[in-house]
Amino acid sequence: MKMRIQIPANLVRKPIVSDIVLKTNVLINLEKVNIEANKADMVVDVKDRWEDVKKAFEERGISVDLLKEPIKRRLDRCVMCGICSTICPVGVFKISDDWEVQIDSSKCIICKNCINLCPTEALSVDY
Amino acid sequence: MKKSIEEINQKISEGCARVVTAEEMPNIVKELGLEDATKEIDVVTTGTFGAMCSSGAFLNFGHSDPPIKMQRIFLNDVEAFAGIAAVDAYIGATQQARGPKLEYGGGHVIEDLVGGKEIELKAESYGTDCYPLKSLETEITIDDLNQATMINPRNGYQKYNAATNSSDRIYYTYMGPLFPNFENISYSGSGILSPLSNDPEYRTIGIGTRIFLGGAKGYVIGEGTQHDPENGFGTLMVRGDLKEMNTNFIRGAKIYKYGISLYVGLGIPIPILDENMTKATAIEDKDIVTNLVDYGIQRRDRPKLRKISYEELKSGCVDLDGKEVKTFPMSSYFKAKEVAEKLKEDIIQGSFKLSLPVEPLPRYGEVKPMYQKKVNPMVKDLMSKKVVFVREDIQIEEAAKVLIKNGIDHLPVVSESGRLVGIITSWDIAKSVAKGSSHKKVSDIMSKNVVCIGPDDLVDVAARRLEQYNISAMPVVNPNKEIVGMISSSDLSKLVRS
Ligand code: SF4
Ligand code: SF4
Repeated sequence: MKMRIQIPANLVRKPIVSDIVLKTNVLINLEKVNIEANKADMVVDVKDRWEDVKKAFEERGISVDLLKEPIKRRLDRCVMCGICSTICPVGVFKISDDWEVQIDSSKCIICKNCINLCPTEALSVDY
Repeated sequence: MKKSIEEINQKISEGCARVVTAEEMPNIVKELGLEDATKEIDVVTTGTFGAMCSSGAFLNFGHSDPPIKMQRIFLNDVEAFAGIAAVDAYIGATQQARGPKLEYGGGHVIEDLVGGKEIELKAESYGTDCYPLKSLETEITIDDLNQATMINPRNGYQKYNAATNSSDRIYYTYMGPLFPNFENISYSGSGILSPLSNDPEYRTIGIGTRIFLGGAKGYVIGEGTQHDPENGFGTLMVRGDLKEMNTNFIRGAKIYKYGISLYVGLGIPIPILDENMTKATAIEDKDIVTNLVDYGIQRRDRPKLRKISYEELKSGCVDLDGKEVKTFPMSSYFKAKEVAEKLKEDIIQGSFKLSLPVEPLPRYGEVKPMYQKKVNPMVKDLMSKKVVFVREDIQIEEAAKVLIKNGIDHLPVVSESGRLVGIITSWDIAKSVAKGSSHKKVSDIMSKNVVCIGPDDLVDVAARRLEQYNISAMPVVNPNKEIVGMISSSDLSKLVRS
């Protein structure tokens, strides 16, 4: 499960992720980290027992959003060109044998590369 | 065995015509042989769906009261060509909206018209005795127009050059994002389903051929602009009624960092008149060969790297001098199939009859380049050939002395073998001194990602590059990365003064 974690200013300097990994014994994959002066913003992927990890963050006063469908496509706009398939670093888009462009949203790391590139503005992320 | 178009249309009326798509044809011919396939099959449908920039529509708005001779016309802030009669206009696909709406343009106006949306119409004029009104603002939909006729000067390329990029930077082109060092290849066109590739002698496609255009019936009205039959790059000029089209086959497109275009779905039914037509429509992706072109060279005559078939392009991965390179399509083959299937349906249901051309498309001729009275100068004509550069292993103080002695700001840095490896500016040195950093050698503080250009590039490309990277000078290097000169914005300004 992918989650977006927002860490407030007072906790930015604390080794929170390591702490949670040690306490929960669950591996956390950091997909994107953005640290600013007064907050940090991360996208993490947790394969097993993500509920425990979510709880651990929340117990420390950190808000967690579940990213069930990080990248969304409007099928009424998409023309199935496949341009998005060239830019995505993690292979979210696949062109099937009958030339349909298929999406595996769960792989998305919200880099947003594809958003501007889609000629019909069919793609969006909520975060 | 010969069949006339009348016989085929008769069969369509009776509901017994055998219609297949060009995708199905190769296998049918393999199974039945040419003779039986000719007897069996009556029509082969083709289709293509891609961004076709040379598209647009003539609109007639009807007269206002008091009347206006529209001189400038804006539809949702996109300017339409108004240099024709009082309330006629041509809206072109690539025209961009004025003001901040850079993401919107003519292609979107056309889509919104087809979709029945309200469009803001603004017009200006100078006023005449017969057309006194000077400005006008209203909202219209396609139903308010007398005519909305799509006329596309160049659609349906027989095939299209595939694109890759040899340079060391990413280029955003009308062929999509091309990554540096041949990292990807883009292509356009539907190959096996391409209308003109299924009738390469233009026997059934010419002026008057009834076609599928944007979801409605349309016609070929002649060869398209840049029609290049001798090289197998024929094009079509087509007409259709916007009022009957639908947005499933007409869609505005925004090509990132390039501009606006229009996706057009176009299909042509090909009558199987004789065995030659059977043979032509049995063409496969492997038989349709185009050029792989290097878009990393910003010239008109971009180098052709090699011949490449649609089979290779569509496979998703191409071998380029031993390197596996991923391909991606710019046009939609999924939608091209939808066009060919829809056309097939329409013919089977008897709602679409075939027509033969009254004039064939020209089969001879080639595209000429532009006649330019003045030849654009090249970088080597303006660059300063006296270049000062230093080796990467010298001390920073040494480099500072070189800069001061020569009164320059940019100092290219080369490796032992003389290849360009970096550049330092007086700013880099000042920064390193100010920070009191412990770096000693030039190679520690130089920027390694050097923006440079070739001696045979046009100065216009050099000017654009300096502007893009917000720099005032860059080294000129030959293909071996050896420095042959420097070009600066002041070198370029010489051009303006002379
Ligand atoms: S780039 Fe946009 S229109 Fe093209 S396949 Fe991807 S989502 Fe669809
Ligand atoms: S946002 Fe990035 S990772 Fe997600 S689908 Fe688009 S390109 Fe792929």
